[in-house]
Amino acid sequence: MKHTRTTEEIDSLLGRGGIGAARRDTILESVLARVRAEAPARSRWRWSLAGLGAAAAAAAALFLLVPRFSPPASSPFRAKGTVAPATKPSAEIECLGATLDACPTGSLLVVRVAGVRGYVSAWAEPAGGGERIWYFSADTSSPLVDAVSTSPAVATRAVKLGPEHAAGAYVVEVRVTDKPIARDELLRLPEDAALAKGRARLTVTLP
Amino acid sequence: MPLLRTDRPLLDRFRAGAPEALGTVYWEYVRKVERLLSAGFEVRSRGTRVDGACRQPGDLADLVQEVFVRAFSEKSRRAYDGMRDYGPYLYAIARNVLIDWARVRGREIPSPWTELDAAIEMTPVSEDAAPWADPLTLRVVEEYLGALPEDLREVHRLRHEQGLSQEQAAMRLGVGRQTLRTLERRLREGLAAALDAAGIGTDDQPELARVRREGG
Repeated sequence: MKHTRTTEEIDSLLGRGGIGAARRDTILESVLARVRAEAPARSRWRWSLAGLGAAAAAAAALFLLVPRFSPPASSPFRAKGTVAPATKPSAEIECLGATLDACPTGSLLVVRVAGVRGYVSAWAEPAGGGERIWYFSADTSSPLVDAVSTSPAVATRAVKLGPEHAAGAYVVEVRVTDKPIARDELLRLPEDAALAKGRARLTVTLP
Repeated sequence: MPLLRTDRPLLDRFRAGAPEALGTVYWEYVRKVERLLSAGFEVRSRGTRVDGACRQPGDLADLVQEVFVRAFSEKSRRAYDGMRDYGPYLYAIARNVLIDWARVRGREIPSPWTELDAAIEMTPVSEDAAPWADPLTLRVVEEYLGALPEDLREVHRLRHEQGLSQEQAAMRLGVGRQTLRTLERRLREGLAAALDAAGIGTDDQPELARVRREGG
């Protein structure tokens, strides 16, 4: 069987191991975005459980690593051994440095999951109709998040709102499932098949 | 290099969260953090070991990011006293992140957490380097790197050996960032081709195929 290598692996090989130069750039960008977002109050949208939409083909979005949302330690030598209280499964999204009501293209859209462990799928449906934009699915990348063992929640990926996002309103759908699921299957997934699911309205603006 | 301990203005900007100061600290330590997370560490008093994360670059990248998110949070920035070297402070955060990761993955760490925390402060950053690829791939990569033309050799040295940022590397080379990105893409394409030629295929990798197409 032919071995496959990603661009990321090529970069890692060039560095004789490690994460590779380009990935280091991306990580710093994401960390700085998180630091910037610490200062102003963040606007979040608590997701409600919701159903699915359906439509056409897919366009790619750029995935970036983003900070996890475990609370920052005041000291690296903090106490260990505590167990997080049980948290009701939920999901929310956040437009780093802006709001969901006005999220400029180029912003990072972060998925945050709580109280559940599973694989995240997400996509955006233009409210006025148009081509669906896929963020996470088994066809590309479906990040595993564990918001049971760690507290209060983690999100391992974000989406950079690229030029495939025209200015306007979108409905963003998210599913957390016990295995990565492909796009076609996601659109047929029964309401109760997901460990957690959510929907939020996102308005993309020009920068 | 005791970066923050000896540069008070940098320390002040770091504590204030100035992006350029955070970037300076990041580029100073990121490769050392990578090595720690990749190699794991010993808890000598217990005769046990916390394994490194990382044969998968994706996992390692997640962990590196988590370390710097924690370290650069306002609380952590202000908790650093500036009197001791920043490295050990950062490595302690990295070890905690690795322990959390091991715990999430269900790996056994047979020690009470409080005891482990106390013990790991005493252990140095491991410089042990496990093989980063299979022998054939190692050989192909080294042959490829050994035969690089001068411009790509310099890009490789600055970006992959010295770990400079794009901005720093472009400045050293006297080129713009777009030119540097083009050179980096050539570097990747060349290695992909060398792996292909050696039968270590990448043709069924869409992302690489895209990179090649973009490279014309």
